[in-house]
Formats: sequence, structure tokens, C-alpha cells
Amino acid sequence: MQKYEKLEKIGEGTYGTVFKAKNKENHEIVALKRVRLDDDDEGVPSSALREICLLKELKHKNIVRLYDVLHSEKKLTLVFEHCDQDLKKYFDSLNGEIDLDVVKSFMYQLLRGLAFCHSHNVLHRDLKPQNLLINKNGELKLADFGLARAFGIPVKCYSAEVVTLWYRPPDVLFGAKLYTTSIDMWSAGCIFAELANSGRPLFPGSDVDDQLKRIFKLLGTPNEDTWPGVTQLPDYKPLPIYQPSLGLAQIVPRLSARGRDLLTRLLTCNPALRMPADDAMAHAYFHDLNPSVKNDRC
Amino acid sequence: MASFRIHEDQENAALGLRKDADVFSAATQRRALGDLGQFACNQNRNAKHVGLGNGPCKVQDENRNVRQIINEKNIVPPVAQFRAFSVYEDNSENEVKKREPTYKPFVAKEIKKDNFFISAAENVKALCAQAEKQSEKSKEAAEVRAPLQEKVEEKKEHDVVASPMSVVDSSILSMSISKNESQMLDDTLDATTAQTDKEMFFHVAEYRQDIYDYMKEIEVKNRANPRYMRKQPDITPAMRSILVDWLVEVCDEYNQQSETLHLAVSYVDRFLSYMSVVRTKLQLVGTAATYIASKYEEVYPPEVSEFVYITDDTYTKKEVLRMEHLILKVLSFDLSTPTSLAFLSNYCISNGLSKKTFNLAAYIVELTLLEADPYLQFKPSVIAAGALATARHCLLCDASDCHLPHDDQSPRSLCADTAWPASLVENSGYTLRELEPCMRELARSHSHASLQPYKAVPDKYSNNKYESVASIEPKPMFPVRKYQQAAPVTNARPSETARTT
Repeated sequence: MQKYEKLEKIGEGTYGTVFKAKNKENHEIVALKRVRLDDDDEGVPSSALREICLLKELKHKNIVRLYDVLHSEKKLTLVFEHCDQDLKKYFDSLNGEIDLDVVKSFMYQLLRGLAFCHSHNVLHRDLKPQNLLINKNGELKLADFGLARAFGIPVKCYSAEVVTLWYRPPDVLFGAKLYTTSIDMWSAGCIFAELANSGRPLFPGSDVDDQLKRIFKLLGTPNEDTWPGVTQLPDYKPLPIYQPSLGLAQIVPRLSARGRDLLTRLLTCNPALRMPADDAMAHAYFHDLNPSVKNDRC
Repeated sequence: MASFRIHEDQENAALGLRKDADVFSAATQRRALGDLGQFACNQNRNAKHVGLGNGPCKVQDENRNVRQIINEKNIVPPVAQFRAFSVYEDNSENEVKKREPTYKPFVAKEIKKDNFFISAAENVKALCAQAEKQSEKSKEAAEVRAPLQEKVEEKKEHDVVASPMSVVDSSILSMSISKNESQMLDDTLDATTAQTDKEMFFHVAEYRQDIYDYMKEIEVKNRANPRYMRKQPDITPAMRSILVDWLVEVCDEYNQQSETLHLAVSYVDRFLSYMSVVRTKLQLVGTAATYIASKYEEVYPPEVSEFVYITDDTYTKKEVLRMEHLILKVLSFDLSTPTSLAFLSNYCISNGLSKKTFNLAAYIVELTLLEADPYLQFKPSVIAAGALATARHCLLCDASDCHLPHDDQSPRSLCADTAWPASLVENSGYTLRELEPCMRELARSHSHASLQPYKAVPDKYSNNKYESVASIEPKPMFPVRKYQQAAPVTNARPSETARTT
């Protein structure tokens, strides 16, 4: 570890502790994610294994860059590009309301990063503000691929224990083990609303039931007509019938009509009808996006 | 079994191994990267005599990082696009020992007992027996050990939920057309068959083309050296086949995805492209590679203790974990690699092919794992396409004489159109002519499947789960020569004649 001088602890990832550190050779600031490897343990955790091999493949401006891996008997250290803050901290640092152009820019970058993951057959499965990094140039990067995995075609059954509760889609809340890129699109929708509300979470549920109720109060309780197959999901349970409240204007008052339309398409309970990332990028909401963001390719 | 010949001076190599066996205990603690440079310069057969004569355990510098190694010439660069990325030992002691020769061979303690001069046939027999014993053991494992059994059952139950949203893979593959599959044996690539939203959804229609393009792009990276076995001083193609045969059983026994098996075998081959491994450690490499593949692919990977158990405690948990560490380092964590099975799945879904076609092609694809030569030279997408064409010909071709040798070397047009119609040419990007070299081999492997000694793949695909596709009579499109029992002596050990060439 002599190559890097540890500066301060930044936080905890899905697995392991994250430190800010300086590369002693070129004085570059990096983020180190350290995973302890115990002899009694199972070797390299599958979350670390997947994060490393997936991130090595995903080189994109809107995805955090993995520079290096230091692998010893006792620990595994992942060396990442360092970003100044995550979206959660960005929200906390806001004075007043967020600039709507920033909302648009962040949302577009989130979708662009996601589209890149999805077209490289990777699901992130843990999108939330804490896992979106922001740097001084206003660039947004997807980070923490500890729950990510590669998917095959057709998709197979994967774990239902994914995505932080507030950002978890209704199909997964009902125990669906067969899901695809749509799992991340729901989270993106939740984050979009949170952005537009300057950091107020859209569905801050306390448990799975409360989470589902909050969702259905806004969007209406799904049934076999609106979502064929919903009652067959492993953990399906009948919930109070709420009518769609159509109150998106009240929920995200600052968002334009186009923005609300995009949000509706992302927050679609039936995963088969949820809008994919590349379609979302082409949505009318982004027509007036600052060209410097749009053309800023990887 | 094709003829892989090893051209090095075996006697000297053996002596070298024995000498170095003394330092084995140190070797288990200090693992190092094999020297690709040595492999590379050994491309020249003459040079190789010298190199290997001094033992496969040449002095190596542990601190050479992966980047340096992949920059060596003459080797399939495993991570060409990641030159700037290095995975290295995070060990401050290395700094001190930098100049010290640190490469130690994977020589087991047992190797001292091994007589290197006993006949090769006996060696192979012993290894076979060992593998057999272990496979029996692994069978026992599932029967005897109640907890494991429960776990497996439980997992099955979770998977088989009677929900259309949670179809298990068998039903995912069956498209709407496969319901009347028996009548639809012509498997007519009915692309017009309406797919429901849900099917489109789980087939990731939105990104399928992007993903296919991406898979084609990365399949050429991270490939094993098709000729690595020639540079291995102690292991032989037959031993590799025995290992793969055993891994097929292990994966099947633990209810793992076939994809996990394919990944594990590809990790083994890539690892062996860079590292000299002695026969007593080959199973350890296979075990650790499977452990890594399970962690990557499976929702519930078996614990490391299970993997220790299946080797009949031949290795300790510590050894498996250390081998895991070493494999990850040698592969520089490039585990995300498209297998021929992944390509096959993609072709079948994109063209709405029947489940039976998929299963038969998957069977043929899995048979290729047994033979590094010739199949490592073909790209996974080519093997998948070739196996699919072979399977389609087998199921669909009406011609009666396609298997007979005929003057014109190319396949009859009826066969060709049935096996590989224009839609598949377009979808895969391969013409039948491009697939032909691979298909000639596949015709042989499929035809000889029931005759060759490795039974795990045919056994696995005799199961109802795979519609017993192993019992379908092969219908080769190309002339196949009569099966000949591979002569283990010439195959297993480098022959004297080889040395004199």
C-alpha cells in the first residue's frame, strides 16, 4: 500500500471501507476501497469479484473508473478515480432549490451511464443518490457496482434481494427473481423525482409493505389488466386498491410537463412497459439539454 | 482425441521438477506469475528444448506485473485493451525481494513419490482412477449429505415458482412456438411468430443487438493460447479432458448453470496458457476456477468447503483460496467473457428456435469443452454457430445421403439450406463456408460422443431436463472418419519421435 497515502475515510461501500488517498508518485487523489480477506472466509467476495471484472469492462465518462487492484493475502484494495462528492452530499449542500438545468444534466448523464451498462449486459441493481458521484465539473458517474452482475439472454433467475428499499421496483418488491434492465430504470425514475425535489426522496418506505403502499398511492394499485402476471409473483399480496392519483404535478411541482411525462414512463409498475435508458435519453424532455452535456461523449 | 505432442525434453524436465519439488513448501506460500516470455520464446521449438530442459520452473520475477507480461511478444494478449490496468501483489516484502528469483513451480509434495519414468499409460490410468473416485465421491456427496441436498432442493423450489414472471430457464427458451413443438419439428425460424411483450422483455429485445455486437467485440480478447498444451511440461490433453469431464459432473451435481461450467473451463485454459502446472495441481486449478466461476455467475455459489469436499480433501481450503488468488491475478480479474453457450442462447432467442434445437446445440457445444485441440482455435461465436448448424441439420435435414462422403467437398445445398438458412447467416454474421472448418470437427465430436471415454457430458444430456438430446442419432453433414481409441501412450506423453523431428 506504500504507493498510496491514506488521507481520510470517506465511507462504507456495499462491502469494505472507502478511503481518500494520494498516489505518492504522481500526487493524484484516488479513492481506495479496502476489503479484508480472512483465512476462514470465502476468499474474494463475489461482490468484489463482480465489481472488479465488470468495471474493468465499463469504461465510460459516466461510470467511475477503476484504476488498479492491489491483491494481497490479507486484503484486496480497489483503486478508483476520486470524485468530490456523491449526489446525497450534493443535495445536503444545496442552499435552496436545485437548478433545473442541473437536474436535466444529471438525469441525462445517469441515463447515459445506464444505457452503457445495459448495452454491455450489466445490471447495476443498486442505484441511489449515494452511489452517484459528482465531480467539480458537474459530471455524474455511476459507482458501487457491488451488487451489479452481468446478465445473459434470455435473463435467468437472479437474486430478489437487490436494490435499496426506497429505489426498489414493485416487481422486485413482489419477489420477482426474473428481471432485466428495467430494474435500474425504476431506480432512475425515483432519483429523477428526488433530483427535481432537491433531494427529497420520492418513496421513503419503512418496510416492503409500506414501500408498496407508497408507490401504489401515487400510481394506482396494479391488477392483472394493467400488469398481466402481477398476481403470480412469488411474494404477491393483495394491497388496498388505490386509484392513480394523477398528482404528479403536486409531487414534482417544479418539473416541466415533458419532465413529468418522462417520469411517468420510468415509474411504470409493469416492468415490461417501463422505458429503457436509451429511449429515455431520446425523450423530448432532453431536447433543450445543453449541447455541451449531450455531445460530451466518453 | 487429436494429437497434441509435447516436444520438450521430458527427462530433463522431470529432473528439473524433482529438484524443484524441494522448495515446494515455499512455493505454496509465495505464488508468482508464470513467465509468458518463456512461453513466447518457446514458440520456437528449438529454443524450447533448452528452456524446458531446465525445468518449467525457471527463475521468474514475481514483481513483473500483468502488464509487463502481456506485453511480451508472440502471445495472445489477454487484456489488450487494459494495458494500463494492472493487478499486482500488494505485498511490501516484494519490494525487498524484487531481484530474487521467486517463481516456484506448482509441484505437489506427492510428486516426489511419483515416478516420472513409469509408463505414461499408467499415469493416465491412475489419474483416471482418481478422477473416477472423486466423481463417485461427488455423487455420494449429494446423496449422503442431507444438508447439501436440502440446500439444493430449496434452491430448486425457489426457482420453480409458478409465475409467468419467474419462468425458469427451460421455459424461457421455449418461445410461444415451442408449445406445438412436436408438430413444428421443422423449426422454421418463424420470425413472424408473435412474441408477447413479456417474452420480448425477458429476451432483452431492446439491447440484444448492442449486446451481441459487444460480445463479438470482446470474445477476441481474453482468449487462451490454442497451443498452450505443447508448452506444458507435465500435463497432457488427456488429463485436461479428464478434468473437464469431472467438472461437468461437479457442476451438474451442484445444480450449477452450464454457463458456470463454460466459464470455469475458459478460466482453466487461460490460466494454463500462462502457467506451468504439474498434474497433481491440475485438479486444484479446475476446482478454484469453478469456484470463481460460481461466484461470478451463480446466485448462490457453493461455499469453499464444498469445493474442498468434492476433491475428496485432496486440497485444503487454504490451497483452494490461494489458487483462487493466483488465478484472479493471472487472469487479471478479466472474468466477464462471452462463452459459446452465451452466443448460442443469443442465436436461439433472436431466431425463435425451439428448445430442442437449443438443447442439442448446447450438448454439442459442451462436448467441445473436452477437446482443447482443435476447439480453442475457434472463437466462441463460431463454435456456437457451428453447433447450432450441426444441431439443425441433425434434427431437420431430410436428405438420406448427407453423411456419405462425396466428391465435392462442400455440403449438399439441401443440407446447407436446412442447417444454416439466410436468416441465421444474417443474424450471426457467419456463412456456412466460414463455419465449415469448425463444423467438420463438430461432426466428428458429435458422432463420436458415445464412443469416446468421457461420459459426463453425454450423461448430463441424457437427462429429461435436456430432453435427452444425447440420444438423438447424429447426422453428420461432413464425412466423419471411424472412431479410433486415442492411444493414450502417444497422446499422453511426448513421444521420442516427436523429439527427433
